[in-house]
Formats: sequence, structure tokens, C-alpha cells
Amino acid sequence: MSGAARAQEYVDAFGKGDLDALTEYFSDNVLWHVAGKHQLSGDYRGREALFDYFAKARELSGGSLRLEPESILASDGHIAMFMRVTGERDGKQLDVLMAEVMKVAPDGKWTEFWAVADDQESVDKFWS
Amino acid sequence: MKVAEHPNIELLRAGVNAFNSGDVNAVLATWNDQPIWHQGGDGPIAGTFRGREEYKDYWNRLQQRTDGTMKLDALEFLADDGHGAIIFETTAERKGRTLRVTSAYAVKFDDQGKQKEGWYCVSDQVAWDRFWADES
Repeated sequence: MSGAARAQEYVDAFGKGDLDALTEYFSDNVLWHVAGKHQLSGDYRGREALFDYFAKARELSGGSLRLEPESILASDGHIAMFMRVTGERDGKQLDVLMAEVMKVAPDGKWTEFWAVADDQESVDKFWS
Repeated sequence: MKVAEHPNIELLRAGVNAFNSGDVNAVLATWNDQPIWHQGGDGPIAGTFRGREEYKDYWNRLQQRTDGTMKLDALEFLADDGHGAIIFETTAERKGRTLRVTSAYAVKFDDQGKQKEGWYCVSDQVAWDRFWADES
């Protein structure tokens, strides 16, 4: 399966809230960078830490986070995704476009993720 | 068409070459009239810059702070009609500090084949912010 198809499959699984199905996509020592200045900002190293972060984000947003890829570009070594991210939390709305890049290991597992939002300030406010 | 062969890749290559030759007007020639530029991180060069003038201000800050040493070493280009990405190493020197950080640039194209909105992000944000910070 191509990198782009795999990423789409991942987004679909995320949308169903099926976190267990997501583990196979990541390498054991995946490094995940969360930009910004809010309670979830920082680096998460390892699959366990990453899934704790996913669970926390889900809890804080009451499961309202939605990912809609605008475009997914992939080569053997990298995936770039343009992701519309929406959510709701304590009456606050999130609606941003994230530019996301992942590094892909030769075995197809994702090893590193980083991203920038089109409106970081609204991301910070949403999670604060 | 494979994403590695799309014509928009030539546009991205031209942008990188213009950046590395220090020619801001040649960089802007790859953009539409209203560039939107999102720079991740914290500190004096972070934020969102809108329009050519703000882009030039941002450019000038980069050039002045690094004495023109900032270079982009492209590793990979990806593009389709509407979107593109470049994976590259950013290198620069400043006040005796050296920056070398894996970086990604993601961009949306308009329907005229120009860049219209770009995101610049780095894998090591801490190193990046430290490099640009005013205090030593």
C-alpha cells in the first residue's frame, strides 16, 4: 500500500476513535512534536507516550476532534498532509488547517511527526 | 502523475534556488500577490506574515540575523496541483551559534501555479528557537 493510502487509512481509523488500530502505524520509538504554548505542547517519545497524548487530547475535547485531509502527498521517506482539524471544547471552537509532515522508516512505520497550524494562537486558546 | 514529477516541483526548486542566492524578488516571483507565511515556534521570527511587505520584513530579519548564511539544502520535493512540500536541512550561523535542523515546508498553490500559503516547520523546535533568540 502506498504511503498516501496508508495515511488515509490512519485518518479513517482515527475518525472512528479506534486508537488500538493506530498502533501498527508507528515505530516503537516514534517522536511526535506538538507545537504551541498550551498544556499538550512538547515532545512525545515512544508509542506509549504518544498514545497517552492521543487519549488526553480526546478526553479534553470530549471526543470532538475531527481530522479531514485536504491533501496527502507521499514519497518513500516522507508524508506531507494538509489537515483540517476541528473540535469543540468548553464552548470553544477549533477550526484550523495544519501542515503536517511525517518521516517514514524503510519498514513503512512512522518515526517522526511535526506540524504547523495556520492559526497557532487559536490552537493555544483551544487547549488552554 | 507521480508527485515527484509534477510541474509545481519546478516552481519549488526555483524558490529554493532564489532563497539560497539571497534574491528576495526572485523568491516573491514564485508567489502570488498576497503571500501568507506561517513560521512555527516562538521568538522574533515566529508568527504569520501576510502580504509582500511583511514577507520582506521577515526575510530581512532572517538575512540580517544570520549575515546571509542561512541556506536550504533540499532533500525531497513533493507536489500535486494544489499542494506541495519540501523536506530539507536548514543551516545558518549566528553569533557563533550554528543551526542545522531538518525542516519541512508545506505550501498551497493557486490556480495560476504560484505559491499562496506556506508553512515552515522544523523537527527540533527547541534548537530553532534557541538559535533565533536575542539573548545569548
